Amino acid sequence: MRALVAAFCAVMSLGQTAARPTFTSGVEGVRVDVLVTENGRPVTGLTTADFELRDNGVRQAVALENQRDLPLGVVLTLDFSASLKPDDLAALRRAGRSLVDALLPGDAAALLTFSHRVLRQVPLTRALDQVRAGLDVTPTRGPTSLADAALAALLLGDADGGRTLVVVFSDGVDTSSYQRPEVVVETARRVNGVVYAVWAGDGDTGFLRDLTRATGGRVIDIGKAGDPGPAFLEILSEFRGRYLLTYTPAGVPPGGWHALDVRVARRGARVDARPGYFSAAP
Amino acid sequence: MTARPLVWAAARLVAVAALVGPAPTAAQPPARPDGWDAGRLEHWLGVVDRHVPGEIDSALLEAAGWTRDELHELWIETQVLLRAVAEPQEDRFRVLPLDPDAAIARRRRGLDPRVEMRFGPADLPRLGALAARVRTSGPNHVVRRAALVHTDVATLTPDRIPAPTGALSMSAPRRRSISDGRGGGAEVMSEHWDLARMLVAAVRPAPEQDSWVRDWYRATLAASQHDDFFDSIHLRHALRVFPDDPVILFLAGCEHEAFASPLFQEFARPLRRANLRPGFGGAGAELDRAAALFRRALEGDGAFDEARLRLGRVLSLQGRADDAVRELSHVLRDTDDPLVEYYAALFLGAAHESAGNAAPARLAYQRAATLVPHAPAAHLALARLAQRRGDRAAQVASLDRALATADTDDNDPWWAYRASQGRHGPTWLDRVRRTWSQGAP
Repeated sequence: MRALVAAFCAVMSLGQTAARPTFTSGVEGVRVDVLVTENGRPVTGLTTADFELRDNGVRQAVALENQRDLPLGVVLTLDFSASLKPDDLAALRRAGRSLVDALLPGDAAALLTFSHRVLRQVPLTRALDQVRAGLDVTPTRGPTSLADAALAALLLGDADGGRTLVVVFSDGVDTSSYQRPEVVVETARRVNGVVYAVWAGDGDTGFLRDLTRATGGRVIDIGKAGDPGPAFLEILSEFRGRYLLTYTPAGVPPGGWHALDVRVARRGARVDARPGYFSAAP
Repeated sequence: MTARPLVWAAARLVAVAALVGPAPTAAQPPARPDGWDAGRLEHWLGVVDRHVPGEIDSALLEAAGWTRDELHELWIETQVLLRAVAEPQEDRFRVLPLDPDAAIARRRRGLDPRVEMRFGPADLPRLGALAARVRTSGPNHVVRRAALVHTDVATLTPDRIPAPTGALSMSAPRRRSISDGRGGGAEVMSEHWDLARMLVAAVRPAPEQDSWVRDWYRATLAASQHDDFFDSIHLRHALRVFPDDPVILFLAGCEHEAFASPLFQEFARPLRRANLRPGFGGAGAELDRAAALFRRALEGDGAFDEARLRLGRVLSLQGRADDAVRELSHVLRDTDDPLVEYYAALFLGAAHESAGNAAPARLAYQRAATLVPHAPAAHLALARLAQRRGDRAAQVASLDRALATADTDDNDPWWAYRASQGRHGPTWLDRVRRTWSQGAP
């Protein structure tokens, strides 16, 4: 999992200028984004001692990172395909703006729209007005390339290297992607970032379910013609309430698939985290 | 490849299927011989004489204005006329009506499903005169020209055909449109295609021995698929006449490959939930059919690169990565068609990946990206492969190319893949029309 391994250095780069000295290091770290809920509500106030993490069955010494030190990079990935009705498009634009408005200083956002084509309307930027303006673009109507768009969002967020939240909105199933869904899900296991999806369709959400699960995120089903605005804000709030566990793998061979098992010492609590990650052999 | 907007193409995407069984309340066959109208046949022959194939002329517009009922009458009368041409002494004719419900209803009542027409001394001379006119022009000449009239109405002026009125047969074939995986409208198929097929079937000595009929089927099928119109009925007729023709087998394979795609399968899902049949099978079954048809096309023409390309892609979708790599590599060695080469390189990349061979996959995608530098599909795949091997610079560069280039519809031939097999259809159809113009017998 090169992206997560590189996270320590990459995170630092977010607020730095090119003039600062840089260095390479042999330190490898893994960061795991964890959501803890009880009765559907996020649990706050947990400490490092509350967590137990196993990497391929081997317990690791974890640290709890202060997420406030980590600005977010939000990749908004919005379905502008033919199935979207004008009223729904207006609601989607409002929802996008409300999410951008809720970001904090230092946070960044990018905007991808898709029909059969995936368009990067705005690259990852802290100039959030550009994202707000980008939401007004005229949709390029056509069939839906959901898998292509999700892959582009994953890779875009991964390339940034920060703490990445990918928000995918769609109201239609994939009908024209070149990338196969299983390949995109496999990529999700390799990259940094958590994917949440807002689903406004009535078809099969299997791909989105698999995709979000692979990163520890989830699908919010708002139903046909539902307003995505509250869902977008719920995602942002939930994402901010997640815990960031970091550790340097010990006692496990590098390379290949690393199954993760994260638990908390709290009865009735539910833990959502990515089920594992791929790490390239050294 | 086509450059038309995919939105339009998707909105026109059609699967033809009768969704429900026949209804017992069928229209009665036209009364015979009282309903016989010699004037209509004379008129029809006049239109056939005047129409210049491929032109939207006054004759074509006249034919396009004929109502559904008139076309049903014409269906019977033209068959009677052609039989009268072959058998001048005959005064009694039996013809199956075009409306399947009418035939079914008669069968249910224990009656001969055919309509019988008897000609007495008052009518027979007029029929004989019309038959003599056809004989003078040459029966094959007339049926080919007539077939082109009805082909041209269906292809050049479909919007001029009057909308059907009154109760429609439930088993009448319908043209269904899909947009973004959802069902759009459904319209009853025009009878002009039925008439055209009936006429080409009358080419003598036998339509299956006639290269013009073969070319007509190839051209009309390819032109339809070029318009994102998958006409199962037309294909079924074509395969009945030319069961071993590589091009027709290829186009049939392309239809099943399309039916296996998420677009069609998603359209079918709610229908299947409601115990309705969408007119095609599940993805696995459709891929099997497609593979079998592509193989048969290759048996007939081993140098048919595009059939091999399609076979390779289907094998890849079936999880037979090694077989797919073999077929697609074969295509890349042999083809001189840049579009086929692009598709083959793109699909070979995916097949190599499925086989666990990242390095050759990368080479294949790079070849695709070189062939069509502005196409996003290959760049996106290359970005993914770069991420896997930890090459962040390459990941960013390929992603930049993938996302920076997707700004016009014709950027990536992948988006036109579903209809690309029909790209020669309009040219072939023009050639078929010209063949007639040059005085084919």
